[in-house]
Amino acid sequence: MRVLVIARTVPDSRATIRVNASGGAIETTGVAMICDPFDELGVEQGVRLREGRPDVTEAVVMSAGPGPATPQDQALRAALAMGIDRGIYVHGDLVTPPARYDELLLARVLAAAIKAEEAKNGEFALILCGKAAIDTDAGELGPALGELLNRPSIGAATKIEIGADAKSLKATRRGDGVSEAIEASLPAVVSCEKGLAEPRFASLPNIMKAKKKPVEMVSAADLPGLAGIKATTKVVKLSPPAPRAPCKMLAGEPAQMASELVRLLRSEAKVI
Amino acid sequence: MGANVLVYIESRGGRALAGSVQLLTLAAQIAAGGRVEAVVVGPDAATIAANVAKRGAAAVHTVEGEPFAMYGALAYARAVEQAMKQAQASVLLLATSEQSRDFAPRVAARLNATMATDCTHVEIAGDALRVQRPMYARKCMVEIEMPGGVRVLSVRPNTFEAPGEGTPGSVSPLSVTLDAGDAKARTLESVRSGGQAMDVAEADVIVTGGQSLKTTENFKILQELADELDGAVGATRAAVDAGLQPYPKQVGLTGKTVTPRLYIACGVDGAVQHLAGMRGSKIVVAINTKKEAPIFGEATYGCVADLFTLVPLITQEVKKLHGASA
Amino acid sequence: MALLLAASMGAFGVLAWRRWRLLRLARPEARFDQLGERFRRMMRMGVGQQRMSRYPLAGLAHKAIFFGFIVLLLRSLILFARGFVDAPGFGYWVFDSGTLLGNVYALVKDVYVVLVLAGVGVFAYMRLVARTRRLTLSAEGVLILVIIATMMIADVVYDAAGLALHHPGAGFSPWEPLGSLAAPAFAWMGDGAKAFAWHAGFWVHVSLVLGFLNLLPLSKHFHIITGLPNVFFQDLTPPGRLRPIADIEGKIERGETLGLRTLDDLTWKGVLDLYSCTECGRCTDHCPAAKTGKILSPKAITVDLRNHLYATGSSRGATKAVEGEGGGVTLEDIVPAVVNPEALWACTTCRACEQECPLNISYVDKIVDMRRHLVMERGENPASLNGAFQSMERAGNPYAAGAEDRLKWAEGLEVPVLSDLPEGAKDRVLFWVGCAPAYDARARGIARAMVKLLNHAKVDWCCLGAEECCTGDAARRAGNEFLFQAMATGNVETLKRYGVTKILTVCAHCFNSLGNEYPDFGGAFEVVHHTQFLAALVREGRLTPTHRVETSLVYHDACYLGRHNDVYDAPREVLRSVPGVTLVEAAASRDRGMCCGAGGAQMFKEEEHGTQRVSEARTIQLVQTGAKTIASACPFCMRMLTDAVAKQGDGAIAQMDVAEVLLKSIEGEIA
Repeated sequence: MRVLVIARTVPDSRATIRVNASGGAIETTGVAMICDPFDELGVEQGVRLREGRPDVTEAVVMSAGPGPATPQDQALRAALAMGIDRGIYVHGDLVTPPARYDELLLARVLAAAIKAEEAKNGEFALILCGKAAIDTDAGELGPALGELLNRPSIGAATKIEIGADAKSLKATRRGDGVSEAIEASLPAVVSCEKGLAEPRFASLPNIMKAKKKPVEMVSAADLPGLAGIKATTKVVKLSPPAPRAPCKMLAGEPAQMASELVRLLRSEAKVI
Repeated sequence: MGANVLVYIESRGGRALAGSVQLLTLAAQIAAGGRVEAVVVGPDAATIAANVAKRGAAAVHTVEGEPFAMYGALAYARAVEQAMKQAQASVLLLATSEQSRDFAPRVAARLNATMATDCTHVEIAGDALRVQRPMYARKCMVEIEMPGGVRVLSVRPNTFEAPGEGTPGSVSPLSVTLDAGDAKARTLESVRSGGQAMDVAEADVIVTGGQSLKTTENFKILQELADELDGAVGATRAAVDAGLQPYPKQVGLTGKTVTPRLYIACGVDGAVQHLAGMRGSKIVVAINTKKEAPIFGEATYGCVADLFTLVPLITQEVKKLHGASA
Repeated sequence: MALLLAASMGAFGVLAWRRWRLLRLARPEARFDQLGERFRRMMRMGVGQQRMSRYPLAGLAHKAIFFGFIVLLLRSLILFARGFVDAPGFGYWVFDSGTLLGNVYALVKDVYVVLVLAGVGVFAYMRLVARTRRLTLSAEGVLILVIIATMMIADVVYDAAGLALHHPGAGFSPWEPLGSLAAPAFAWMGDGAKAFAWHAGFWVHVSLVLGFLNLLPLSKHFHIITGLPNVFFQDLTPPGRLRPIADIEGKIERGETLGLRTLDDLTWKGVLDLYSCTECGRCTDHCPAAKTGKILSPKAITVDLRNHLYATGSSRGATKAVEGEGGGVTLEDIVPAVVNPEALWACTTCRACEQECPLNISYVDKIVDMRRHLVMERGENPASLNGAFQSMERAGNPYAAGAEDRLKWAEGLEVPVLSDLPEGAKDRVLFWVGCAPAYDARARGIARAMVKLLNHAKVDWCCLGAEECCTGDAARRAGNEFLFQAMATGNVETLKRYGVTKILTVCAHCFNSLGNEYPDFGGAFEVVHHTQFLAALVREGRLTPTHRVETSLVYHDACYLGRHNDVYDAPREVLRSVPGVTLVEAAASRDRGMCCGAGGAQMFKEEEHGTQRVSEARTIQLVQTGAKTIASACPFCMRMLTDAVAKQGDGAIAQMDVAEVLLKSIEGEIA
């Protein structure tokens, strides 16, 4: 049984986001890049399976981004340091912003890369990724991969358990105010939600060892079945972040405050 | 634009999710001469459909039956895909929710469509759609153009007003055939989450209390609000230290780091260690009697008020709101 | 006599050789520099018994025994010789009985016999009657006291019986007061019995001395031999400096240990520390963690490590101290076999233990070294630290805040940022704000007060703005040396790029790190703490406190300002300059000031399990002085005390930074 984790490199959540000169992507120089924290949940889960089950023979991480000369990809390094065996780095314009902002396109490219890898080394029983990456916050990757690879997909999983026979899995996913128990056959794709597995902090020796783990470079443009593919959506522009508005202080009697607050949360902030 | 548009009406607890009914307004704008249809899937499909049919959908397809009794990504994706075919629609609209995030990308991939998730603004530009959606934890908005072809859009609730009632459209059951692939996963059960057991790190709405709550008992008023919002209760280090709440509920640098969509801080002053754990929250509400409390510097909305009076009032208001959207 | 001497010397030789081997097998460390200074300190601590007096009664008793032993050493040598020379009054000719020197010595000796007995009495009282908490009641401790007392009594018996035998009827002799006073007690005996008593006194004394000698390497009384060398070889670098680990990445590549994993990782000075501990418990007595119910006890760490060392030895050669030559032993990891990790993580690195230890045994370096191994090699740190580590690494501050918010503290103030200053105008004092004053709403007041004071005094200053990055102090003290070095290197680079020469900090931790630790990374700057800077400005008349600030005020010493850097007077000088202020002192102040609980990265982790928070214990001490205001000089102390004061109930006591007090006096009211 082999496990694949998808790990994307994204700007640190604390970073200041600036739009670059072209207006089509964000400025990455001087921005700390990290492995996406949701993808990291999948990495942790993958490592736990690799460590905990003798029948899991390999855990592979796949990342995508500009290249090809980017062995410094933070997501790959983080995943390898956490205990994943080896990496595959898919590179090219197709998987680099602004094209990268089209997550269905990313799914198509990665599906092609996964098929190519599986043709060589066999099927992945389980593919894990974050429920959404913190940069695009789209969350389309997992379900779309499931569709493109003709496998069941489970979104926002907070718990997964692989059956002893390695043929099925049971998962708990977070729905809207509900928690759903799902049973699926393997191979499957699972998108990971917080609570699944607290990611470990890699120790220094493991970070060092990770530098020596093999990383295969794959050019997105050369993948079979992708000839002529391009982004179908067009990024018109990114708008720089609005300066954070000062706190809006509500006035009046408590009852007025309460109704005004609920109104604002609903129609202005749109969070309830 | 002259396209046929299908709106997925999400059923929640036997009612239509308000956010998805609102999309009938957008659907009419996009259709501009084309047909607006809707699809409802699940055990209450017929009742919901009757309601929706009055709000501008020319036809409402209902999908019922054992495989759709509980939500499941594979079955629902198949149902919506077949409804798209039935309606000969080229645009699918869904309200952003955990459910639509889970199955809509499958539909999009199957239909070879383009997709945009969680749009906060949609504009028609000739044959194209121009949408805006937040990225980088709302630190940045991206404007995307979706040219022709099949398009799938999930739209954040409350972006549009629900249309008024008019001549009812037709309601008819749609018979959906599942293939072998669709049986590869099934939902075993669906239970209401939230309540005491909900982990703050996982919650999308968090109501946090500080030491000023004084007793564990007083945290109940926060729990009531959290329950109403399907959220969890959190606590500051001082509150945990004083034994008011257990450590797993501690939000802060040395406790849980949280990034909910809504964070309501009640009687929390906002010590730097606490702020470190909740800075990633999207919308922050601060309720504190001290108007100089640092928490107001991090908040979106601030109320200088006594939490013991205000929080129950907010809970009431939210209850009213939830009652109204039925 | 010769047989006894040879046997006991031989046995001692074997025991001492084993100890010596262990010392030689330990890691090397350079401690042979600055011999003059070392000698000076040894005289002060050893001969001057400087630190013993911190406990007045025990100090006096120890002084009596310490000097008694020096005096009586000659006596023992004389007695050994008398075993060979058949002359009852033999004293190496110089001290022969009856000679002037001999007489003077006999008198001095008698005085010290009394003093030693009194000392033993005090110690016996402390151990058996008062049951002083810091002491562990052990048979060994009592046995030693009995031996010493017996030696003294045997000596008197020897003198008295000798007098009675050789000079029967002689009266009181001022040169031999004890012997001559006790002699009549033997007068009634026959000569045979007198001779027996005389010989018995002699043999008991002599054999106890030799027995005692052999007991030393086996007991805590080894300090009689190793104590002074341990003081001599103490670390002469600033106490606030931790030793860097060179080439961390290379060490990992080569599979070498980082920090302290097994006994093999101790240096010879570390081993000497273990030999020297006399289990007096002063360290634990003052440890803020131990005081508040944590399982940390510095004394226990030393004693447990020593027992472990004696039991297993070194894997580099002679191993089993007991069995002699061995080899090929795999040593156990110290944590958790010998030291509980929870104890390790309870340490605030406040140095109260080291300040108290009469023999300069070091603790903080060992504790941090053990943390280094846990964090960097095993990845085993308290989970509550991960947030701060990650934030320091990625965002350059421990508070998970963005760099763009670094100047938020200064809203409404004019702040010259170094990168914006024109060339030629960059030669200014650099105000290193620090993360807490930049991001902590309460601590922002310190930075704001400081800026206003700088402007009042017309000081040319500037700051780094968004380019400032955490010094890494907390990462280093939490054992994450790798992260610290990355941060230190980055900061030194920034500071050097601008040619910064003088740095002003308002944080005791930044002050210590920049001043004492950055030189190891190529950054030698003149670093001053704001209390020193302000004291100088007041002294020079550039700041004149005029408005009365009517309050009684207790100053809380920050560990990293006081014990780590010896700055005790500057903050007090500033406070005294403010009219209206009555300065009171807490019972625990200056170098005995209790930690606020934030040091050693505690600020960024959950406190270990105990009976009380350190900050609360300290706050209660401060409130008990009756002062209306606590003045502090470090934002970490301020944060800890603020939280603890809040818990005492609002308005229990006010809290201000020294700079804020001064500003209040200059401006009347803080705007």
